[in-house]
Amino acid sequence: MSHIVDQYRITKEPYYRAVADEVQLFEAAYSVRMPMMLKGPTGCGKTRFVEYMAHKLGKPLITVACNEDMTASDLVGRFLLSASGTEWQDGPLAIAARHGAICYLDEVVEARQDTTVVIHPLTDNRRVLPLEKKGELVNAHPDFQIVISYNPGYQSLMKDLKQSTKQRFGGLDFTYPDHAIETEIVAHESGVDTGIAGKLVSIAERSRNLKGHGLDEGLSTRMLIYAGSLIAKGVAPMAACRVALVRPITDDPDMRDALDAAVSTFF
Amino acid sequence: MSIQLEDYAELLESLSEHSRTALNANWHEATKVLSPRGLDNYLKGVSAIRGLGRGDSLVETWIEQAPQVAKEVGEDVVSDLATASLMLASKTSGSVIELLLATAPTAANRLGDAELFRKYLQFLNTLIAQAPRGVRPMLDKLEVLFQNLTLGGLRRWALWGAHAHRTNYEEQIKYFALESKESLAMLQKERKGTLLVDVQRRINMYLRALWARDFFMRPTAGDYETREGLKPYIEDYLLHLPDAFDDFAPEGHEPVTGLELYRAAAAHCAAHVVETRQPISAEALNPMQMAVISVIEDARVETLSIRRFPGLKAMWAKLHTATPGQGASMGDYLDRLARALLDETYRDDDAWIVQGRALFAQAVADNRLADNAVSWDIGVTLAHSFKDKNIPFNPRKDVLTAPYRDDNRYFWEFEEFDFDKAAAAGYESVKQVRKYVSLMEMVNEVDNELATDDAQEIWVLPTEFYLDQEGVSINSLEGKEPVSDPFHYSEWDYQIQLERPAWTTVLEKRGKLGDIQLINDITSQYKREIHRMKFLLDAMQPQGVQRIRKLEDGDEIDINAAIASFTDIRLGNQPDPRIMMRSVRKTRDFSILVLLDLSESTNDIVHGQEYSVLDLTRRACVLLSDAISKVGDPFAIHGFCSDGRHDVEYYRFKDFDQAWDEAPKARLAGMTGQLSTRMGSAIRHAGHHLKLQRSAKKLLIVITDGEPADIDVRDPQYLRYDTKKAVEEVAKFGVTTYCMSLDPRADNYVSRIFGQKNYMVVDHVQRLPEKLPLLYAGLTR
Repeated sequence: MSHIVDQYRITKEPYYRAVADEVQLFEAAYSVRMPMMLKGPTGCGKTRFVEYMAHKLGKPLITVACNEDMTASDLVGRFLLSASGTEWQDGPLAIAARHGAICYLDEVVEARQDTTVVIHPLTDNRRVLPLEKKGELVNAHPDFQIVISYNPGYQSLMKDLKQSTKQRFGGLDFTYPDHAIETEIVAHESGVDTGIAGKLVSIAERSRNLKGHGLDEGLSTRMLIYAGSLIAKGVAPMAACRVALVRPITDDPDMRDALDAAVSTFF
Repeated sequence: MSIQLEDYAELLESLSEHSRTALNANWHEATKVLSPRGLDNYLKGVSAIRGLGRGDSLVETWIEQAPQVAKEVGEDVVSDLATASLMLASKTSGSVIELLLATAPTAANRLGDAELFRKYLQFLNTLIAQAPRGVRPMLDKLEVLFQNLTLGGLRRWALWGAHAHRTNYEEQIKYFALESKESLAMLQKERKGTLLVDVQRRINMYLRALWARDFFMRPTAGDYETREGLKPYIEDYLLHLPDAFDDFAPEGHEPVTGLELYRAAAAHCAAHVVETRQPISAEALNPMQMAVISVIEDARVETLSIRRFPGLKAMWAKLHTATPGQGASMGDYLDRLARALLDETYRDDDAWIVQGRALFAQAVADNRLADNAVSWDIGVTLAHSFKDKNIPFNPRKDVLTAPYRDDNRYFWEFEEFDFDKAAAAGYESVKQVRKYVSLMEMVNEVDNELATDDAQEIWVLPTEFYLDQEGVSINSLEGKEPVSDPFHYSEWDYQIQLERPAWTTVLEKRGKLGDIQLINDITSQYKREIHRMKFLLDAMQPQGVQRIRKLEDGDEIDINAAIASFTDIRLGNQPDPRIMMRSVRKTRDFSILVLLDLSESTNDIVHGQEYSVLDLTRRACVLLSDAISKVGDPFAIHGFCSDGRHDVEYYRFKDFDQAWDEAPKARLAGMTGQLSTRMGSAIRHAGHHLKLQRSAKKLLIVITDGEPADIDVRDPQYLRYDTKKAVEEVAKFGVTTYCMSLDPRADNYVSRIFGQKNYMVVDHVQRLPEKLPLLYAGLTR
């Protein structure tokens, strides 16, 4: 029956370093099937956290990357034409609800507000998904949970969640971890030693000082891991930082120069 | 206070017919760049230069050029320029003075700073005494010279020439006209290095990245008599760096670029500001002890900074060139000590240096570096043991040679030293508090009749208290008119490349009501234009729902296409899989805010007509409002004027959710023009109103008759850059800003502020009323 969702199962445990009590909180939320909302800057580990939790709870994880052109049918499903006539194709949300998976809507504010409204019946005590075109009411599987994520930093005012959507979720705040923990993460994921990882993290902290002063966002943990991986492959640290950290984050020549200089105070 | 040319009848009388015409022609321009006081100085200059009796042409040059100079470096220099011209009059011919005035705007533009411009005038005065024949050819080449030289460089170049060809006039003229070989060679030699203004933004970001706080930097015109220039210094909690650094390339060392040198100097100064938290008492210290303590304190802050940012060490170490061989003066020993304390790879076996190193290492080991008392202890001990060397100390000559080190006046100047102030330097602002008090407090307090509008505290009653007179409350009686709570906005200072937070105060005021008949007259006057526009506007009405057919993955099945496909399937043909469709709602989703410049200059009468610019603006607004209300987009009409940064007045004639009926019409009729144009803050506030709108597209149309200006800003570039920044800021919230300028000479600055495509200069001001609705239609189609 549930073979469709087997492909969504996470077989290998993803690496996740808990920063505070977020794992326990999420487990508790899942036990009462409370929908969860993960907030935080890009590349700080939101998606990794969901994967880790899905694995820990032993549930399949269906991820949808939201975008502006996404419609309600992209989530719920639609009729497609087949040789014998039309055939209903469940959308990712319907699959998750039917077969009991965790449905993860990544960057949910990118979707239009009228699209996100379709998740409402699933996120309160009704836990149903009406497929009005098909004339079916899907009762959510007991294992089903919905998780959304977004980055409150760079969204414009135009893109915000409706109050009615926000108030259906429990929220977890994600930020960049402390120096020591971030160093540990970078070292583990990229394979560099803690000395270099510590320097990379210090560089990132410098760039986070510039947020709002010419940079929209500081360097993320993910970028540090990229830079670390390059260094682990034998690339010179300065070159690796240039390629993986400074060049992607800004086009402003002055900012690039300031960041290069900041990098050179460490390497 | 405003100054009318007619008030200076006596002066006008004394001028020749031709000069009078010139003054009249330039008066309008001058009123734009000069305040009443500046205008007074300007006119006094006219009469003084007239008094020289060197002909009309000189007077007219002054009339034309003085406002240009003021435009570049502020009006304060106008009187200096006049004084300089008068001083030169006894030394040189009228035509040279004329040339000086004619080239003054070029010089002002290149120097870009009032203080530097004054020094330039002083320099001319000196030069004319030394090389009287050289000044004219030099002024002819001034543009080229300033492209290549700083003021200091120009001075050295010119004085060298004056000295070399003191008596040979022919050679002198050749030298200054850049025609002789040695002249070009000297020019090459004095060519400026890296300028602070070019790299300031980078350095700022660099410091902010490292220390997570802002440091304010100022250029100083240090490079004057020598190439070395002033040392960097910290004063009033601001970092003062030389205006130009040459590449540092001592023999036998790796060259360091000017940019690197700036970084090293700025990082060193910032290290002081961050790490020297207590001043060092200079009591009972002699200058030699202070010099040694300075070196130790430098080493202390550098060591602490290097702990956090290891790369700084390499950067600073490159700039130390002392070697163990140098031992002639105490300065040499101080240099060696400084190098030894910074760079442990440096070998120096001198007993004194070894002792210094050991003491410092002991302090590091004892973990005493956080407190600068350690610098005092080590410094005094070392100064004492230095006496064994029997080398005298000369406080003037024995200074450190490393070019990035500041002169350390920062921590010696302990009087009234306040480290909280140091952290807040550059941010200072005065705030006026509106305090809500109870009725009894208000009644018991004695009214201060001498308090003016800028009192620090204004008391307000939380509820209206009506007096016996009908409909008058105390609150509205106290002020001139009820104002909103103040809105604070930051402003962009291009010189320091930073925002000044909460710098301006915007107050929303209620506009006066006028006679609504005025508006109805306008509507009937422009009946024909309104009728013509009707067709245009009809075509812009919202379209409603549109179906996009023939999609493979739409939202719904298109029944006709599906049946056709099934027919094909039954017939055994290849069916068309595109049987879906999607409904898209086509709506006009615009919010439009029209922001009017209500400064004093809008009261000017349009050339050759009876009405003022303000009247025209009002007509344009009426036509536009008629047009937009027909199309149905939400729109607002706001206006602004300013009286310094504490009082940017903002009037809301019509709000978004308000219908276009009597109330807004009456307010528009009562619109008046006064004060100045602080455009950036007004744009930010308009952006704030647009932000609250839910439309997808937001349009801000700014109608102005001149460039941004205000009474408390002398630097004409400042508000231009701030306005540009404001336009960029509101763009972040999806607001497109479009400028309609009525200033026919606006092209060059308006395009810089609003962007290449987002402006329109209305040449025939009279046609504004028709043009505005057309612009709206064009922009929102």
